[in-house]
Amino acid sequence: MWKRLKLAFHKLGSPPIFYRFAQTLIPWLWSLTGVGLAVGLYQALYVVPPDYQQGDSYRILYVHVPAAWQAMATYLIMAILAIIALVWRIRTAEIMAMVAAPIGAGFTLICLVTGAIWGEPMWGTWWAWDARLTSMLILLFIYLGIMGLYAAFDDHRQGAKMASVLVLVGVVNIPIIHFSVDWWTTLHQGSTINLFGPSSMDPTMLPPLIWMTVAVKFMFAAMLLQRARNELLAQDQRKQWTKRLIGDLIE
Amino acid sequence: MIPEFSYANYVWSSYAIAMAVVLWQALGPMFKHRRLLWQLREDQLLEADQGNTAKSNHTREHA
Repeated sequence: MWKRLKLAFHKLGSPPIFYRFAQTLIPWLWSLTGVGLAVGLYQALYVVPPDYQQGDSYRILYVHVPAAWQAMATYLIMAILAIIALVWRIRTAEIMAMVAAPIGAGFTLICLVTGAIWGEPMWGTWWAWDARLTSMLILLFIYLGIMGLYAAFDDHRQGAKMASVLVLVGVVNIPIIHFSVDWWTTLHQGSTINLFGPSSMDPTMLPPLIWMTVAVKFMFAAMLLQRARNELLAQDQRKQWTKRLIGDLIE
Repeated sequence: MIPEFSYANYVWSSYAIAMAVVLWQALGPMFKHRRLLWQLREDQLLEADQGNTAKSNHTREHA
């Protein structure tokens, strides 16, 4: 089993195999995303009752929280890929790490904007320089920095190497985001969902959050493979495998 | 049937912005992929065409 997994992992390092793998998986991932979003949005907008204090404004949570979780998860995935890229010099890992940055930036942007919209009626302000909000804004800047650094090099591999180092430096921000509500007094509320203990959120409000979170995971995987496939194709346009692929399309 | 919410403007604008970002992130790479395949196909056809022209010129010179 382990040997098989290792072999599959190594095989995915080959651009044509990775391209075909992505091509096969993307429609399935989008289908699962569609199902998850349909159920999650239906429950979030039609099934769960309003909150006794926040009224319906708390429904913003169903886009805000999955986006925030995914923004941080994307960074951790990017860091793992960056380590693989730096240590083993696997090009597909390098590419995946680099194309994860704009996706992570997108989720961070959703989190920040929806958070501001939620904050206005509940806190009376769109923005506060509080630890959670500020560390999340820094995450967006780190994502943008990684994208900029990668784009600044003509040599993709050199750019990916430099940006991977920046990814690893930026990892320090992830625990700061997570624990900011415990370490500092913040306007942002503390964690209400606890994976390893009782959650303070009412159980009736949980199912749409789970559906939306799972849907966002599939969405991320689909977006990652889509972008990686494009980057591979763009970088390898003079390679034999790309010519064969295009040749097949022409026929 | 659109549900009537308290703070409706805030709720709907959040969902709309999230949807816009997701669509931009999802559709952008899809269109780029299509554009890339089209461009590579054009390049390959052009290359094949140039190859054929060069070959026919070469044959004519030798004839």
